[in-house]
Parts: sequence; structure tokens; C-alpha cells
Amino acid sequence: MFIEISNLKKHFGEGESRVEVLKGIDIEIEKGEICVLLGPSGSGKSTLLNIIGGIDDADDGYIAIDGEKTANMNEKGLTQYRRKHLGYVFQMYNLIPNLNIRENIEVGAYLSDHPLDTEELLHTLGLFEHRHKLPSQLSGGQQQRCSIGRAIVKNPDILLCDEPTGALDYNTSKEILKLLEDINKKYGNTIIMVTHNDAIRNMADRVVTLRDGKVRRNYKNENKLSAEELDW
Amino acid sequence: MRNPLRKRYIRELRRDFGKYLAISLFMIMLVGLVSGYLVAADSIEKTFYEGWEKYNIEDGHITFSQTPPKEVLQEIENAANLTFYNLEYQEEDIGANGAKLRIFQTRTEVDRSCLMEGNMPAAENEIALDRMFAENNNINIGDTITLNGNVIKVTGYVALVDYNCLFEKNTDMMFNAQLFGVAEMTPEGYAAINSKLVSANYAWKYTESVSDEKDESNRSEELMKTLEKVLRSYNENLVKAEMEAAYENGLDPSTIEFNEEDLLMVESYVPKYQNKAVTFCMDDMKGDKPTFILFDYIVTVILAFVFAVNISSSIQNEAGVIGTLRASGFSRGELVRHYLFMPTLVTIIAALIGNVLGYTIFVEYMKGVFYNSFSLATYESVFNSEAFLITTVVPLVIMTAINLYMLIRKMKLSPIRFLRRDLAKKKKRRAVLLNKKMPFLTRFRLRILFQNISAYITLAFGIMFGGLIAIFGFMFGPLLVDYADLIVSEKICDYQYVLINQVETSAEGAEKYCIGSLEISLEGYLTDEISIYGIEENASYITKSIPEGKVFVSEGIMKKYGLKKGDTLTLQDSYNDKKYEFVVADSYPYSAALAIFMNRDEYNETFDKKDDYFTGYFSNKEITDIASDDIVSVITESDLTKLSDQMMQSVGSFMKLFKYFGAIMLSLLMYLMTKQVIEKNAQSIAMTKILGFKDKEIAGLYLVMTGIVVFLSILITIPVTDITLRWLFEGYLYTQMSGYLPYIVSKSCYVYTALITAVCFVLVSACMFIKIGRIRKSEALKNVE
Repeated sequence: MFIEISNLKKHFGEGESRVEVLKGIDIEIEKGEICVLLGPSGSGKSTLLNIIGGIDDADDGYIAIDGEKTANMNEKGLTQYRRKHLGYVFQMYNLIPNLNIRENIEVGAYLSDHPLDTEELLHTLGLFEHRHKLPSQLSGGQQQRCSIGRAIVKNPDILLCDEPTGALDYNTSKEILKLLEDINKKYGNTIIMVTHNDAIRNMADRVVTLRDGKVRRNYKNENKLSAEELDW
Repeated sequence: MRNPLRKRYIRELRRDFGKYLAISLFMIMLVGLVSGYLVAADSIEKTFYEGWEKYNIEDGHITFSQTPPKEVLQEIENAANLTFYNLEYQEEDIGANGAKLRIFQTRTEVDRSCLMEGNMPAAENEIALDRMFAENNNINIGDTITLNGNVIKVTGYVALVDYNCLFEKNTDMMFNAQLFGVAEMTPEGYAAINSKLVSANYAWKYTESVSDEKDESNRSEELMKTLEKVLRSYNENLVKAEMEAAYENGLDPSTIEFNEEDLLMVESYVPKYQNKAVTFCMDDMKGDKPTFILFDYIVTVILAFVFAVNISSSIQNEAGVIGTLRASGFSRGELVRHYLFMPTLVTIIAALIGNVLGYTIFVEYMKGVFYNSFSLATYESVFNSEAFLITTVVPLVIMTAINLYMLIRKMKLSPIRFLRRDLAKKKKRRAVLLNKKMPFLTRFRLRILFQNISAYITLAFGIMFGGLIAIFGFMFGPLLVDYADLIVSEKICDYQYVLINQVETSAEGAEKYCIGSLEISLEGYLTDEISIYGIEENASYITKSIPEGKVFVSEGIMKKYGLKKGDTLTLQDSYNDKKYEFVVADSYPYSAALAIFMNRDEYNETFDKKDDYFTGYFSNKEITDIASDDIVSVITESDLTKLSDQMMQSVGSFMKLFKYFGAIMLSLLMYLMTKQVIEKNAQSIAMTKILGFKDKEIAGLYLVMTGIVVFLSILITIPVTDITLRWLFEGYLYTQMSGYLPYIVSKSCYVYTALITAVCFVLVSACMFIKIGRIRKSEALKNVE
């Protein structure tokens, strides 16, 4: 199994304000899968994503990536793990305002020993025409494409997407989902996507539904639709 | 692949060009000034000590009361293992301002002169003047001067190695290069001057060179003992011979009154290491050097904090980006280096340009300052590795250390904290509670203050330091004017006559007085010469009558040495170590010198003088019935104020520098920190605009808060400055300088500094008002989680 999550627990706060966010999560994800994490606000899906991404730590349980447990890694090892294996896409694009689109993508390429070709990726992202523009000169959808480009350019094994369409309209959201689908097909990355949009489950290979810090449902989607076919 | 984040540097520089330019220019000015000072001081020091060898400087000099017989000199030479060189001089007044010229024969063996310009005198009617004295008195080469009725042509300017500081007497608190100078003439020309004031002055050189100051001090003490022994023996023989002669002439030896003036006495004994005319320049420079270095470091620390506040604000604004970069695999170190780059770059560039300017422009300025104060030989600027270390390496280390510490602390946070924009070190449980009765706008302003507290603290410290520098620059002018006024208002009389012979006068209002001098030498202080006045009982020139057996002590002595009424003041005669004790009756307002006042009859008794002994007259009118041959000198207002005049001349340039530097620093910090607050709050400002606030109202919120901080800072600066300057005077100036300078800070200094601050604030506010106007409402809609 490529990603193995076992009995993962996490809490926030202490005393009266202590909240158990994850109460023993067990998930297994195969390489190259698109896994969608669904659930209402406060269900623990973003926390789970952050622990997978090595930017937050668990109280108990473990995550193993290709057999290697992240809990055994020190700070330096975690940074290397993120650098070599992970790509991150957030709801807020967090692009560097004084670097142009091409340069923002190059920031991701810099982190990789074997980055993808930036020119080609710009074409794939549909941003080639805008490569010399600053982020503030682009629409939200274009900025999100750029942030996906930054994450994918280093050709990571795992692409973590936290509400990537949360700030976008219907059409732009579908474009972004289509892009993620294309990337998955083209580069074979494992994509774990957190969303509260129930319709997106249809494009996933695996669907995990969380509620109150527990896995409610975890199944392989046998009737997978393409991103273009999605509707909500 | 090169890190693409590097491309941000140029863009960041372009975006915030004003800020970086202002900081760079300020740093360039700072480095240039300090580097210029250090290079000039170091070069002068090098030339100075090389000059000792080049011009064969004396190991000391002795002024005898009369020309000693050759055998006396020889006896001392043999006993102390040294050689005497005759450096006899004459003194003549020159010009209307009462300037005094000390004339030597052209020196050929010791203390040779450096010809700065023109030619050495070759004819009987030619003279070479000290450069500084000539310049201060507007005497050009080719001009003529009159010395004791002889018209003499000035052929050149010289610098004498034993007079690089024109101290007339070694006990003077300060030299005055306008009222005292030195000159050289040919032996024939010197003889033709025929002055009545001739001093039997002899320089000495030890046969074996001194190894260090301790050795110099030991040898000097040995020489003192030898001198005392030889002179005592000579004088005893003199008295014995006279008595024998009297006996042979059938007179009763016990009835013979021996004339003290016939004895061979030492009037002045100055070993080189104690000679202010030689050492003051270096002591002054060495004293200034740590001040300049400290000044450099403090300003660098403030600038480092400016950068730290700025970077901290950038990190806050870019928290999401930093979180994403960290989540993507950027290490802490990479980001720390990224944010550290700009302050490091600015410091390096500023230090390099500053050093170039320091070696070219500022060194010339500093050279001018030194040449305005000291009579120095010509010198060449030399590379100074210490200056480079102090102005480049150390500031770079300070800048890097402070920002690195701040960055490491900030970057310690986990990526998730950056992504959540949760950068507070400690979790705030709740916002600071403010009284609801407080007007809304006041509460709003207070929130601005709390939110930008680090920027405001940096601003407050910067204003305090800038204010301190500015006040320091402003205070000296008025201080010296006030001091001169005080001297004039407290003067004993308009004309104080010092006589050679005790002649009577019928001038109305003239009162006899005695004057002598003793020394005070306390641990932690330099030796001070104290004038001892013997005043007529019920004298009209002294406003209080002096109680019997006690003395009045000038306020300077009281304050400098912390004396009170009833204390005993111990003074000593420097040449025979005899000690005198005086009981302090009260302080007396006299600022022209350190002095004590006693009744004349007590004076004569204390110093074994005849009952009718006196030194001269106090008078408010010029005395016309005393022949000029009987007068040594007449002390008038200009003589009394020469100290303040010279100080104004020698420190004036430095003070101007402090003034401008302080003002620039105030404006710079106000500009940078106000800009910082406005930029940090751009989104809030945009939001208030959306809510309907006008630019004027927004400025009222943000700029008024800055104004309050500025006002409070400058208000705190006044007592802080007062404490600091008092400490500087009492802890440093009084222990490192002989004499006394009262601590007077004119209120005008505070007013000027406050005015400068206000003007700076108005200008900065105008710039910031424009900046507020330019913030677009869309700024509020930027993605914020």
C-alpha cells in the first residue's frame, strides 16, 4: 500500500476546551489514486491532510508513505519528505506577489531534482500566455492553476489539495478539477483532495467521508465520472 | 537551478526604493563619518608619533626663574643622565585682541619645526608663525607684524612638535589658538626683539630612550629629586656666600634680608608625558574614538531594529506564502537566508560606499576639523584596517545578529501556523480590554498602538536617541555662550593688573590683591591648578566678606569635587610637595577659573610673604599711572572668555555634525516607522475607506497615533537627555579634563529639538497622507483567511 494511515488521533486545546479532532483514522490509499476526503466543517479532514503533509503531527497512530513512517522523521527529514514527495495546493493560492507566473512555478521546480518542463507545464495549465504577468493581474481560477503548477512542477508522488475550488465559481472549479484529473492521468501522481463539495466524490478513485473525527465511509468508487461530467 | 526567490530582491528594492534609499543613505553617511574620523585620526596618530622621531621631540622641559649657570645644568645632566637644550623664549602681545606670541629661535636640535607653507625666516626681520595661530588671526605669509616695536615679516607657517596644541600653560583647561601662538626667528632676529618677558626654558632628552610611560614617569620623578637636590645646594651656597660676604663687610648676617628672586627656582616642570601641548591632541582623539565607535554601533543597532520590524511585518503579510513554501519543502534556513538578504546587502553596500566616501570626502572634512583644532604637521591618509572592521564588519555582524535572531524566532513556527496566519508567540486569550466610556476613535487609536507596538517602540527609541544626539549638538553653542556670559557677569573687575614690581597707584577704586597657584590632585581626577587669591579685607570687588581662617571656594571646585561648607580642601605646591589646608567657608560665584579666595593678610602669612606683599590691582578703570615696564599682564574680559571661545572653535564643527545627524535620524525613523504602520494596515485602511471613512479621518486615526508616540517620545527624551548629559559631565568630562565647565543646558536646545521633531513629523505626515490616499479599496478584498 502506498499510503497507510493507521489509528490516527489528534486533539486541539486542553482542559475544558479540549477537542478530539481525529479519533482513530484508518485509511489506505493506492499509488496513482485520486482520493477525495469529504465531510462537514470541523470533521477533521484538513487536519488529516496536514498530518499527511507533515506540517502537523498526530498524537497517536501513524502514517506510512511507501512503507516509511512520517512520525520517525525529524524536522529536517520532514522538510526533505515534503520537498521530494509532496505538492500542496490550498484554497488560498498563496502566490508570491512580486514573482510572475512563470517564476512562481519555478519556485516549485527549484525544490526538485527532476522537475517537469516549465514551458510544457505552462501550456498544460493554460497559462503560457500569462507567464509574464504578476499574480494580481490574473483571475482567481488562473491563480489557482498557477498554484497547482507550482505544486506539480516538481513532479511529486503525492499532491495534497485543500479545498482547491473553495474560492472559485462553478465553471472555474470544473476547469481546476479537470486540470487535476489531467495531471493525475499524465503524471500518475496520487492526489488527496479535501473538499466539502459532495459532487466531487464522483471523480475520485477512493472516497473517504469523515464526521466528528471518525471515518464514516471509505470506499472505492466504481462509477467514476470525468471532471467534465460533474455537476452541482 | 538558481533559487527563483532571488528575483524578489531587485523587485523588492524597486517597490520600496524610498525606504531602502533612505536607510542606505543614512548608513552611508554614518559609515562615511565614522570611517572618515577613524582614518583621519589614525593617520594623524601615525604621523604624530613618527613626528616625535622626525622632529626629535623633547622628553620634557623646565622653565627656571632665571638662566641657570652652566655648571648647575651640567650637574643635573650628569646626575640624571640627560642633555639640556636651550629653548629660551620671549613673549610679546600681538594685535588688538591681546593675542600672545611665544617666540623661539629656530630650533635645530630638539623640537624641530615642520614647515607647512612658505619659507623659514632667513633675515633678522623675518618670522615663521604657527599655522593655526596665523590663520585664526588672519595673518598671511608676506604680512608684517609688530613685536616690541620691531616690524617683522611673516615668511612661512610652521607646526612645532611640542606645540601641536597651543596651551599657554600646562594647567590651562583649554588652549586658545587665537590668543596664544608660537613662532620661530633667526638667532639675530630673536635677539633684536629684546622682550622684557624672557623665560629661561630648557628642553631635556634622556641619554637612553624611555621604554614606556612607566619608565618615563619613574625617570621624571628621579629628575625632580635631582633638581630639588641640585637647586637646594646651589641656593644654599648662594645664601651662604652672601652671608659670608656680609660678614666680611662687617654686617650682621642675621639682619640681611635675602631677596627670594635671586634664588634659582623652577617655574615650570613639564615632562613630555604630562605636557598637554604634546599629549592633549592624542588624548582628545583617543577620548573621541570610543564615542564615535559607540555612536556607530548604537545607530547600527537602531537601524537593525528598523529592518527587524520591517521584516517582521513582511513575514506577517506573507505568512500564507511562507506557510505554502514551507509546506512545499523549503527549509527554515532557506527562508531565513532569504529574508536576511536585504538588510545584509544594504549594510554591505552602504558600508562599502561609506568607506569609499570616508577615505575621500569625509576624511577631508575630519582632517579640516582636526586642523582647525590642532597645530599638526602634514600627514597622508593611510588605510586603516581597524576602521574597516569597525565600520563594516561589526555593523554587518550587528545587523545580521539582530535580524537573524528575530528571523530564527519567527521561522520556528510550524508551516501550519503560517498558513493559519497565527504568528503570535503566545496565544492571546482575549484582546486588551478598553473602557467603553472611552470615545470610539480613542479606542481605535489605542488598538493601532497595540497592533504596531514593535514599530512604535523602535520609533520611540530612535526618537530618543536622535533627540539626544540633536540636543547634544544644540547644547554646546548656547552652553559656551552662557558660560562666557557667566564668566563676564562673575568677573572680579574689568581690569586685573599683574605687576612685576610692587608699585603704588593713585587710581580711584584700585584695590591690591595677591595671587598664586597650587594644585589639587585627587584620585580619579586630572590635576587641576587652583588660583589662590588674597583679597583686601572688606574688598569692594568681592561681594561677601571672607570669615577669618576660612576661604571662599569657587563654585567650579565645589561642584567638581563635591565639596560642602566646613569641608577641608587640601592643595599642594607641585614643586616642593608642601601641602596647604583650607577650610571652606562658602562657595563663591566665580567661573573664570578654579579659585579660592582668602584675606590678603592670611595669604601673606600662609605663603611666607611680607605683610605688605601684593601681586597687582583690581580695577574697573584702566590704570594709567603705572609704567608698562612694571606690568606683566592685564586680564580683561577677552582673557577670561578665551576658554569658551576656543572650545567653540574646536568643537563647533563636531557639534554641527551632531545637530544635523540627529535631525536626519529623527526624520528617517519617523518616515520609516510611520510608513511601516501604514503599509501593515493597508487592508484595514482600505476597509475603513469602504465603510465610508474619508482619507482625512483615516489620517486622523493612524497619523495622530504616530504623532502621540512622537510627542511622548520627545517628552521622555528631555529628562533622559538631562540624566545622560549630567552623567557624561560628572562621570566623564570632570574626571577626564582639568578645569571646570558648568553643566548648563539652555531651554532653547529642547525647544529647537522639539521644533525639528515637529517639522519632521509634519513633513512625514504629508507624505503618509498621500500614501493613505493611494491605498485602493480593493486592497481590503485581498485573500485573507
